[in-house]
Amino acid sequence: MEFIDVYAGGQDPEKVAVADWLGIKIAPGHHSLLVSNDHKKVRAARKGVDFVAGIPSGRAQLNQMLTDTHYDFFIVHPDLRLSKRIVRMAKRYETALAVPLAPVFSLKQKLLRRTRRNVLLVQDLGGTLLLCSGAGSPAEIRSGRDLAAIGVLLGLKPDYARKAVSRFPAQILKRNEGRRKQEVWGVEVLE
Amino acid sequence: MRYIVVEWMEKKPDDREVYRQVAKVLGEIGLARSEFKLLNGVIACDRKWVDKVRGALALRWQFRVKKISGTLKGATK
Repeated sequence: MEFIDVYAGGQDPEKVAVADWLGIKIAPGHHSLLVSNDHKKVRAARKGVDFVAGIPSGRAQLNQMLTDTHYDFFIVHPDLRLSKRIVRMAKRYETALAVPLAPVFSLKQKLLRRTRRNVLLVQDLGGTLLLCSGAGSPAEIRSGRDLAAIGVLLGLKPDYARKAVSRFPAQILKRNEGRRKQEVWGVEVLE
Repeated sequence: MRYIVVEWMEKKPDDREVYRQVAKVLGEIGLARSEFKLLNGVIACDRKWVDKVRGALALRWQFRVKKISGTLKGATK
């Protein structure tokens, strides 16, 4: 089983070395990742990168960005409180929601509660959840099974937590591979 | 029970520190119910609590699991 950390903070060769030791692929590093809220930049660079993500500052912005199919996932920090409507919308647009776990390492009750609420909401509504480290430093990188274990600790089902680190990112990569062959991103011509 | 052999990325943490971390995350009741133990550096816990114990440790340390076994003999072999 291959584990992919879809958002490991900024690019750093040290992080890649740690990830190699832990047996996990990270983006940026092993896979390319573009994090931008600029639609034009995203559209221009889309075909050249493995993952494209956005970091919305609030619910309104996330709501607006969800309709753009150029994004693979959105990074949901604990200060952003997800709503049922947003998760359903993300599901409809086949966009994943990535929850960084590095803020939880501080064990602050408030952060734990908010992160737990967000991940459980995505799970309960059947959305695509991605568990990522969101590492600010190499010390915050964790192995795939450890990320899944933290997910279980937050209340996720073990199977779903493992999928959030392995199958869901792999599905996104596979989908992007197919879309790269299309003339227009996300538009398939049926013969 | 499951016996887990762990390789720590940095300096191996003190046994007391490991206990304290697990107790802090799982709570005293969780610690008791998980039957968490440290046996000469090998982590032992109830089968159903493996993920939670691992998660509790991962919240603080970087490590990789070298071996996981149903018997202590199998883990230390």
